[in-house]
Formats: sequence, structure tokens, C-alpha cells
Amino acid sequence: MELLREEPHGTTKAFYLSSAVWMVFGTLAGFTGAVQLIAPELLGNIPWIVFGRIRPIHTNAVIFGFVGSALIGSAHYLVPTLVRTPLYSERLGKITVWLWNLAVVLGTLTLSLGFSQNREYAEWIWPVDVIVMASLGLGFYNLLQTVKRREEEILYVSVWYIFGAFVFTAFIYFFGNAMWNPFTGSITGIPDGILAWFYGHGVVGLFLTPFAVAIAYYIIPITCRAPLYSHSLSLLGFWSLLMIYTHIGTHHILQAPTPTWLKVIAITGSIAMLVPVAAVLINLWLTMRGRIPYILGDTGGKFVLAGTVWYLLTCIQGPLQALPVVQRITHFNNWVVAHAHMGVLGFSGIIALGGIYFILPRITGRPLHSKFLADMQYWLVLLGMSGFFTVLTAAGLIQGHGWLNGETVYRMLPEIHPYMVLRLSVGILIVSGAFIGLYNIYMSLYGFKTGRKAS
Amino acid sequence: MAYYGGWILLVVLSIWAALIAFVWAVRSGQFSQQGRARFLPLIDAMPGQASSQEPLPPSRGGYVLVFILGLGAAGMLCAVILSLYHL
Repeated sequence: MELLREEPHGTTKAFYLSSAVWMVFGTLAGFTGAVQLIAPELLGNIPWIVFGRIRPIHTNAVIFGFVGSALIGSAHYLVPTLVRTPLYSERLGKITVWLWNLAVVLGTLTLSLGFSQNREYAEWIWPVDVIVMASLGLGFYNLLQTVKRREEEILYVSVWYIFGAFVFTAFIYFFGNAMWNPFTGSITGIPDGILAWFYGHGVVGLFLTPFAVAIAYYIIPITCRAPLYSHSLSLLGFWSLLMIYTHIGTHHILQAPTPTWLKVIAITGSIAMLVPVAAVLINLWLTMRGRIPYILGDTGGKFVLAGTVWYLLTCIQGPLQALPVVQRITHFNNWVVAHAHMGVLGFSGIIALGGIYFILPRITGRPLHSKFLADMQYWLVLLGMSGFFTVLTAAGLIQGHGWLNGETVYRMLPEIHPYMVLRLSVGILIVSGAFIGLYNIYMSLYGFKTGRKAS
Repeated sequence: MAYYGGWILLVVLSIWAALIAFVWAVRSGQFSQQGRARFLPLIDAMPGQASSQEPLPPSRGGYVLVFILGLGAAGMLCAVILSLYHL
């Protein structure tokens, strides 16, 4: 079958094209939601795009469709490359791609029809969850078989992170979606809130983060032409991530009647997250010390470097806002929305794009269709992300400050309206970048001109 | 209390998965040769992997990232100041 045609790096190519398509769709969905925040009645009352549906469509399409596809696609390149062995089965890889896309399509359709589990990032209903798990399982099996046949005995830290991501994503996805309760996808009461945020936070920290860090650990040494500063330190970061990240999700519900001991664990764990984050960033930055101009000269490397900057900000902000005294200001408002965009778009999304632009020439044997367009997308996404951060952070602080002064939600809405207009304006940059990226990635894959070879 | 069973199962499974991986890593010598492991990305396995980019002058790009760091720091500082104000 043509859809399962075996070709060198076919899995990675298909994941990359999927990612580019979902970036366009996901950002357009976000843009639609942003329009509704300014003018709720502008689009009429079309049921399948009302805010309650378009928001989870946006978040899931971006997390799993755009960022997830790019990261898993890169994993299917990094593991074979780092263990010096071809991918075990490109056909299995293609099945993984199609199942993944089927999940995102079905998840989107069912959400637009009103079928939802109503828990953040776990809105997709049970049949979609099964497809996600199947795709994750196939990807894990394919890469595991590749590693079992490896020619390089030592597993580089990126391989550890990739396998960690597969295993722990499967864990958190199964438990977080309460898959043993197919009709609700949830349990009851406060334990469900705890479970939901164990998953909601884990989907960033144990799905997106390890994949993105794996890519950074691979690309930065190559682009700055230097060995990794310390492989031991990188492994310390990996194991400490798994030790600490798994139990900090309760910091999302500190104001809820969750057990105090669990809150204490979540807060101390959040602060302890500085250990694995510092291990990663210090290691990468010491690797690139004095060589940053080389990284900025590489299209993919430039994205990855920017992603590490957002990673630093996200991971300093995370522990800070886990402190109850700070959270009184920052929670339940647009500050958290800014933080989520930093983690998903600024950190893992930008690194995912960096992975695509770094690896594409290596799997096609040709240069990118347009380095200029890739650079343009870099600046659009970077400016857009910076704009999101500024606008949403400011709006969040105004909301938090106002509420603590006794203002009602209703009275605060006009105050943040200008910020929502700015947010929509900034979103145009991201959507434009997505369209440019889709064109460039498609042309790099399929629109090649004869005679152009990768340097 | 009925949910405790599920939690304990999750904890046990997670710890076992991590322990199995860790023990395998120790036994198969994954923590040896750390010096060589640093170079693994630099060993070309696929054709055309050599990085050919030219360094850019340090005035471009890097300063924008420094500015973003400053922006982030300013946002966090505002949150801390407001938190202290409302103590």
C-alpha cells in the first residue's frame, strides 16, 4: 500500500509533514479561540467551534499533532543514528504515523461534536486514547528492536530520554485518562483532580520535555562542533527528571482541598525540579561556551538555542509559581496561559521545529527548500512567543492583583480586553509562521529541484 | 479510599520500570566510557551529516535571546513584588 510504502527515513518524513499540517490547524484553532475571547458573538453560535470546544481542539492539536509529531519523528531519526543501526521497520513506523494522525483527527472531530472527557489535555475520549496508546506502543517497540540490533554499545543520553519519554508517556496517558473507566475517562471527586493534574503536568514534563531535551542534546554538540560537556551530568539530569517530575502536578490545585502532605510534596518537588533542569542547561551551555555564533549560523541550531532559553524561563517560573504566596497572584488567570505557551510552544515547540530543520536536509540529502523562509518562521515564532508571554503575563498579573483587591471577575473583564486584542494580533505572527513552515517543509520533502545536494 | 489501589499500582509499576532500566544500564556498562559517550553525536553515521554552517557575528540573534531572558525575569519580578504586596 502506498500509505505504508517503505523508504529511507519515511517515518520521520511523514511525522514531519504531519507536524507542519497540525501546526497550521492547531494555531488556526487557537486563533479562532482568541477571536472569541474578544468578540464572543462574532462567529455566531456554531456549535462545533464554540470556545468550550475549540480550546481543547487547539491544545490537543498543538501538543499531540504539531509538537508531538515533530518530536516523535525526530526520535525515529535520532535513535537509529545514535546506535548506528537502521530503523527496525519503516513499515511499522508508517503505521505508527498513521495511527498517531488518526488519533489527532478523531480526537479533533469528536471534540468538535461535543464528546469530551472534560479534563485538561485529556479531553479525547476512550477510543482515541486507545489509538494513542497503540501508536506509542508501536513506536516504542520499533525503536526497542532497533536498539537491540545496535552497533554502538553505549546509549547516548538522547536515547535514554527518548525511551523515558515513550515509557512514561504511556504510564501517564493510561492513568491520567483513567482508561479503565472507558465511559467517563475519569474517577470521582478530589482524587480525579489530583489524577488529572498528575497527567496534565506530566504531559509537558514527561512527554514533550524528554523528547525535546533529547533533540537538544543531539543537535547542540554537532552545531557547535564540540563534544557534550559531560555525559555523566546528562545522565544525572535524566534520572533526576524521572525521580522528581512524576509527582509535582498537585501544585496546580493548591487552592483545592487536596491533602496537605501531597501539596508539600508537590511544592518541594517543583523546587527540586531545578536540579534536572540545571543539569541539562548547564551541560548544554558549557558545551556551547564560546561557540554560540556557530549555533546561530545553523537554522536548526538557532531554533534549539532559542528553545533552551524558553526552557530556562519556563523552569524558573514553574518552581516560583508553585510557591503558595506567589500562586495567589498567578493562578486561575492568564499568567498560567502564558506559562503553558512557554512550555509547549516556546520550549518544546521551537525545539521541535529546530529538529525538523536540522534533520530534514540529512534525510532528504538536499538542503532546505528555503533557508530564508525557515529564518522567517524562526523570527515570526520567536516574536510571537515573546508577545504572547508579555501580553498574557501582564493580563494575568492584572487579574490576580484585581481579584486580591476584591474586584469581581465581571469587573476585571474590560480591564484585560485590550490584552486579548494584543494577544490576537500576536497570534497572527504564529499562524503566519505555521503556514510558512508548512510550505517550506513540504517543498523540502517533495518539491526538490534536481542537482541540489546537501553540503 | 478506593482509589488507593490504583495509585499504588501506578507507583509500583513506575518504580519497577525505572529500576529494571537502571539495573540493565549498570549491568550492560552504560555508565562506563562516559568520556567516549560525549562524542557520540559527532561520529557521522549517515552521509552528509557534517555541519557546514558558518558562524555569525555575535551581534545578531544572541542579543534577542538575552532580551527575552530579561523580559522573563521582569515578568517574574513583577509577580514576586505583587505577591509581597498582598502578603
